[in-house]
Amino acid sequence: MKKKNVFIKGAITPDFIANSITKHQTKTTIGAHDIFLGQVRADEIKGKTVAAIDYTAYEEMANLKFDEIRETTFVKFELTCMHIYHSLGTVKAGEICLFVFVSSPRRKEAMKALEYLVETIKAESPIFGKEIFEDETHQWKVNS
Amino acid sequence: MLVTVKYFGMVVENTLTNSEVVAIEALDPTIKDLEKILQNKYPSLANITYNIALNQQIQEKSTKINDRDELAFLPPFAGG
Repeated sequence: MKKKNVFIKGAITPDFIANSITKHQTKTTIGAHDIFLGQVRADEIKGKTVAAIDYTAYEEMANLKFDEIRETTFVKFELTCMHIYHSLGTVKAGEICLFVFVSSPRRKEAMKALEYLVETIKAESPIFGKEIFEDETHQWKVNS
Repeated sequence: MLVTVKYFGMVVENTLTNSEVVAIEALDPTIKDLEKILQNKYPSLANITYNIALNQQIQEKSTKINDRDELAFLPPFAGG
């Protein structure tokens, strides 16, 4: 399987997502897509509002982990294809930081695979997020 | 032996560097031996939560390390 690059500098744009959907229209064995989009939330913490998240990653380990997650997901579910993109660097509140896209002949496989993928990515990929408040102070995000 | 140690996220605020080469004198050292060296160097590491990866895999602290290995201090993940 060819190595794929998961990381994108900055926010993932709606255009990028739309293009990705368009590219699948030639794959006519697909009957169902399922898409997850993670968006940066303007959380209010102790009276301060999150303006952006600055993402960093242990990229060598993350890429190995993403290969492993992809392989496991292809074994567990009947999928035609699978794409994962995650932002690095600054993503403002309201922008997209994670795009997971699975396609299958059947909807139930696509939906089950997507949930498994998103939960596994959040739990196992070495990605770190610095929540930057509007006053430029920060705190480190921890996945719940 | 010499190992490379990488730091990420909030760990960097304690070490003030992203990466360094660390010399270990113990025989048959484990991850725990390396951690002790670094907790002496950076006492504030004791106040934060992290896992340690050895050659890109999170391992138990009893795992042995070898010359030229790459270790990484990984704070809680926050992807997505």
